[in-house]
Amino acid sequence: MRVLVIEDEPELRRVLAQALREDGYAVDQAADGPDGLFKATAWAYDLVLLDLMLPGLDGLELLQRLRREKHTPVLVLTARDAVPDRIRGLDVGADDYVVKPFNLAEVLARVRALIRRAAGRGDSTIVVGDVEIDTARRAVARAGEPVGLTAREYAILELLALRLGKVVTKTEIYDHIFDETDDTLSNLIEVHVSNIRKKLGRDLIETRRGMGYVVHG
Amino acid sequence: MARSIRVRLLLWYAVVLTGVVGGFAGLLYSEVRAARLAEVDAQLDAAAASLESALRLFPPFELAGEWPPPPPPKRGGPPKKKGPPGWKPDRPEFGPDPGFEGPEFGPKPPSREHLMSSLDLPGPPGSRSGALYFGVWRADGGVLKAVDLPPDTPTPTAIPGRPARSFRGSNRELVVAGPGGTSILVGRPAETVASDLTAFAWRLAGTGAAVLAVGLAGGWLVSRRIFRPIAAITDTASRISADNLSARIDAATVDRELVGLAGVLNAAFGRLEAAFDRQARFTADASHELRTPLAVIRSQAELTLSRQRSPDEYQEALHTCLRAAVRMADLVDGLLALSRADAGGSAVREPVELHRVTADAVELCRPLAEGAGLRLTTDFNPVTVQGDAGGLGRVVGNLVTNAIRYNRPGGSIHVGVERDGGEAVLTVRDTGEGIPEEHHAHVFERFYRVDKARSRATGGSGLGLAIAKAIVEAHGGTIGLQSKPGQGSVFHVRVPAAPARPGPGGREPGAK
Repeated sequence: MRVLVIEDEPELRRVLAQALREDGYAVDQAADGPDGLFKATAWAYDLVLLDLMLPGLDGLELLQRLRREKHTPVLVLTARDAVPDRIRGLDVGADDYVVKPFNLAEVLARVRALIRRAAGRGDSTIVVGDVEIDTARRAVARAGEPVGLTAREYAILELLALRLGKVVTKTEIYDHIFDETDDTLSNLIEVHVSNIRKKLGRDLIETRRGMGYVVHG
Repeated sequence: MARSIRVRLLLWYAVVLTGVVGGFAGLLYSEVRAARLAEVDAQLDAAAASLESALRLFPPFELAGEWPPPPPPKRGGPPKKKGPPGWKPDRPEFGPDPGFEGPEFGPKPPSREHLMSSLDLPGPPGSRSGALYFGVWRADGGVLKAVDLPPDTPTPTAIPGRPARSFRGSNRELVVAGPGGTSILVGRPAETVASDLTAFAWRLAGTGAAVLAVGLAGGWLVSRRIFRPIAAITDTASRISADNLSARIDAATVDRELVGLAGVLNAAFGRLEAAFDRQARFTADASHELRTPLAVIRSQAELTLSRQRSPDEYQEALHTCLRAAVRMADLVDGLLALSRADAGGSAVREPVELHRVTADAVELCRPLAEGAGLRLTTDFNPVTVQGDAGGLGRVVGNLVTNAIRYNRPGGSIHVGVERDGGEAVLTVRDTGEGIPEEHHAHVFERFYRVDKARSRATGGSGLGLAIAKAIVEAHGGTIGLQSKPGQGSVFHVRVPAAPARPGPGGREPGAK
């Protein structure tokens, strides 16, 4: 899952990015409004973390402009906690609202919930055949037995599982798994998929030649 | 004790109304009195004129009280005494002799009786109009004739050509000079006139009192109407509170005389609302500025504790927390300084040598400037101000720190202190990017940043200039800015200077 953090305070931006990366997200960062709007519209993020007080372009204005083009889930982070501010933020198109100083674990849980909801799923566990994927704990089990996956392997599996029955192209996987700082060759995706098949069975991920991969529910 | 404008207004109104009504009644009374007297006097004039014309027929010796010319020999007895009862001629041998009236003397002069009876007022005695009475005196003071004359009437002395009118008791009398030195007194009782005038005066007083009462009642009602809009304004003003500052007096419904008051009050309410808005925005900004470093500390700590870390990671995390904590401390310090300056600043007001305070503050900033590769030059002339050395030092520190923070690499900063007339002037000049014109009005506002992204990176709290402004204004001074993009900025602080030191023996000038 790829997440964009738009926050002008450098320390906070760094901490958020690190926490998200440690949770297996690909993270991009933007330090001001115009850069944030550009990245948010240019890439297919699974979620945007947005600070409201931004130099260059106000967070609410950014949100309004983003909503004209995309429906990316947006979690607003702000120091403005007055109720009218929250109402305005939600009305403009924020999907959730967290007031600084926030609990990091809560923010991460909300990030997961928003991504899940955007995929049309209510709970945090996805079951495909005898494979069970717990997105909250980022754990995978086959026939009740835990299976160890690398972060990349898990990310690809989660992406495919959240789009159950839909073909996901290699480009999409690339876009959602790697952030702008990664410089990974695309054929590595095939290596990761092959490793997942070794651990969870050959039939879990189907290859559509020339199109991409699909996980059938 | 609260004085009532309405009562005072009414009192003044009563005083003026009483004056007007009283004056009018007095004038009316005197006019009517004069008219009535003129009526009486005209009657007396007519009577006096008729008596005078009758007297003209008298022979001069009769009027002068002299002996008549020797009468011709005659027959008959002594002349008859005659006269009205009570009248005693003091010269019994007086009057024309009956033998005097002989046909041989041409036209026969009127007889004395005839003359005496013609010397009277029209109408029968007792029924004369207005009960007129009169008396005629000869030139020697003897009474020629008197009718109904009050007994105690003194002998009048008439001056020819100057009729004298006067009241004697309740009688109105006229004294005129008749022919041949005679004096004529005509009088009549004037009780009816006096009583008529008294009754008239009472009627006037009654009418005046009624007019006054009606006028005062009307004035009371009118004053209530006048004070109604003031009550409405009071009502509106009382609705203004911290919760509802947007209420305003509707100037369209207020009378013209109160539009000014309503305008002044509305302007005051507007300033109050703006001040509250500023305060609310300031609180929101301050809370935002405090929450951000707090969020850094909290999330950094949570992240670091979420799993086992290497010593380097722990160290880095603690550095991050420390930087955030220092930023918060700076901010809290700034907020406190600002609230102190808002509350009127330090109460300390002692002679401060501005050049020394500035020199000390500049030296504190010098390492920072040198670390940034900036040249820091100074030019101090001795000038003393009344104030708080700590506060003024903070102003210098904030301005110089600002100049360091927003300078260009390899640039310079010049700090000057001089006396300009009655003011001490502190100048801080930098060679930075300058500040665009549209920001000039705002740079002294709290948390205002010309370039948000840049100042975040350079670490300013956004309060430095606001604190400087508050301190300078607490010293009765002004702070200003001259800047053009690309040409650097100059901040001027002007504070009233203390009178120059009398002798040169104080301090050595040009302290650096």
